[in-house]
Amino acid sequence: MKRLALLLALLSSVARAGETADDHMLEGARYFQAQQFTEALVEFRVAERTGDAGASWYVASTLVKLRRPEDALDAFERAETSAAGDRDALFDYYHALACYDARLFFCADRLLSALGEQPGPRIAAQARQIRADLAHLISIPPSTGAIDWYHARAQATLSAGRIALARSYYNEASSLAALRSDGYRRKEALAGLARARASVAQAGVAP
Amino acid sequence: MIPLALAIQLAVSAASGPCAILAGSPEGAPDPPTRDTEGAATYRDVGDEARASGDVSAARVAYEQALRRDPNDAEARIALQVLCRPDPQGGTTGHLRPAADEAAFEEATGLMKNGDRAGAIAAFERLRVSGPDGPTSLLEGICELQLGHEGRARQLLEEARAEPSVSAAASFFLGIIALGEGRRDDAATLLSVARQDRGPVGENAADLLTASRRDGRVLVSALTEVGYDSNIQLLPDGTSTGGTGDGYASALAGLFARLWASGPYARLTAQYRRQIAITAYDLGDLSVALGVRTGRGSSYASAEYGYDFLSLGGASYLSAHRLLGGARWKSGRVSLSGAYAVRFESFLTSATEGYSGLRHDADGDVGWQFGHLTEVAVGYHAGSDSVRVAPLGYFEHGPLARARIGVGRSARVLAETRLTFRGYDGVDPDFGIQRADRYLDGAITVEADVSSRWTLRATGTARRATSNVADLAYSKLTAALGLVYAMGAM
Repeated sequence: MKRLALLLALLSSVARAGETADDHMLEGARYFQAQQFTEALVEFRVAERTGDAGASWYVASTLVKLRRPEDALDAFERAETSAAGDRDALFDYYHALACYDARLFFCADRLLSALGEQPGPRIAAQARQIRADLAHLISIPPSTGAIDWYHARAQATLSAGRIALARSYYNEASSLAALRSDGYRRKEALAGLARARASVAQAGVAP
Repeated sequence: MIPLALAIQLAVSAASGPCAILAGSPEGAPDPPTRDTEGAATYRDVGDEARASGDVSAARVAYEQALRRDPNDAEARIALQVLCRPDPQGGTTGHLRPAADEAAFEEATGLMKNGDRAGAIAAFERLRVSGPDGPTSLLEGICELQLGHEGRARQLLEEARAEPSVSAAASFFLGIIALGEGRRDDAATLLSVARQDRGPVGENAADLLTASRRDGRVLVSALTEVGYDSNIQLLPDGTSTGGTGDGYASALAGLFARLWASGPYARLTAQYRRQIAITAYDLGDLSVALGVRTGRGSSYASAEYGYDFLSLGGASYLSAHRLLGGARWKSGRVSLSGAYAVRFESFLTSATEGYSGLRHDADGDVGWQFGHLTEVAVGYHAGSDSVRVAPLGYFEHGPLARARIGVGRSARVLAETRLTFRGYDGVDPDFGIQRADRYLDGAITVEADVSSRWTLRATGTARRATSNVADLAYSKLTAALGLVYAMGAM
């Protein structure tokens, strides 16, 4: 997002000319700034298609703003694969929000704990607040119903071919089960994870 | 509770974005020499991808951008027409709700907004025939809940919960049902999930979660307070006898029990206030009450019998039986409230015995809610005291105003002011005239929740009393700082 800020700073005098990937990034940034997230999403996707692999991070962050956490998680997965070098702390913050909104609380906590002060004091403070909110959710034994919900989501996303997402839900189910003395459906979660990894391997993508 | 409009907005926005982009007009498109067919194709591809994934809004934006770059891009034009026309011909909409259903959905939400819940339920039910749909289930569930059909509402909201876009809102309403049914643990879990939403649903859930921790079939509360009263020596009717000020420390414990939100309840409170210097005014107060309440939410009626016993300076001071009736009705932002109390007072000291008798108090007000956090009310009050010694009896009346202003989500300011005109029943033998007093009272309380069960409270009150007997005019100021604990159980 640092890059986004730089782009925004240059924006005022720039007119559309030539329609390069950077133009679409600029346009997307303008919409993002104006909170027109659907329009921003389209521009970032066009930038992605016109050769800027790093645009995937912006696509993912915009999907977070559009409250489409599962789609955002898919996009973050794609960005990590195609443009790992463009990753920065602010994207990780948005990634954590996507996890949070998808009720993947362990995933959110893991990402937020690694942020430190990197994304700036304001975001860092928000991250600390979210972690404080999360603390009880990831420390108190959950109900069986809650774990069932994660299994259901994992199975649904796996069936839909959204393997990374399925893996995240199984991971969460496994972590939650570990909080319970009876380890409710933990083995099933681990088996699901193995199945998801196998699907990834089959698809030729690194797990 | 979460505003209905917000629930509808949530569901509608989850269901479809606004069709703001109308295709077919080449207005604003570049002249033919500057057409960008390659750029248009890229937007069209993005539109196709969005459309295939069910993202109508993004698809519309992408197709519109494609047409701006190349008005002759027939594929983008057709795709946009399919997405924007109310009755598309042919084509596939992927995971989208068909346009005919979109219109039916809008009609159903319109019925809901207009208060026709039965009509809205029927319309939502017709929509659900074509397959499960989270937003539809959410709104139908809310309608059922409003009609008091909790069982059916729960079923529909559970369905809605499976869809991430409305999962938090569904959890919120399921939490409300669980609270109403006394399933406090389930309610806490559901509201905790809803609280994770970073929008208004989460904020409302957080408020309700905090409130639920202070509610239940059994409510235990305690208050400890230190304060200063500039004029503690008042007779039962408020007449000042000394004008001496003193500090005090006070402790209060309360127990409230009920089986259901509507139905019988019992209340017990005990208070002890210790004066720092004038211990003759140390106050002990024991109060028990049995009552019944009917209604739900912000509209209710209640009736109560109570008994109060007070001691002053360690000696018995007052024994009183009390009957109380009250009602409140709220619709939208407007509320009407009324209360009437009658107290059979027996003062137990020789100095105050003459004040024993029957005391009536009634008040009513009209309230208006501003936004989510502020409510003001104006009203009128009247009272009379028919005491054993006739000249001590009186009739009083006057206007009142109340305000409750939320400061953020965990603090509030409560203020009340009232003006009272009092006329005594006969000529006072000590002063040789019939007394006529006026009282201007004001009270302000600032509360800040410091945790889910503890609240810091600062209170200030002021009174200016004037009378046609000049010597009876006085002022009284009090200030107190206290800590309140409230815990709900069961």
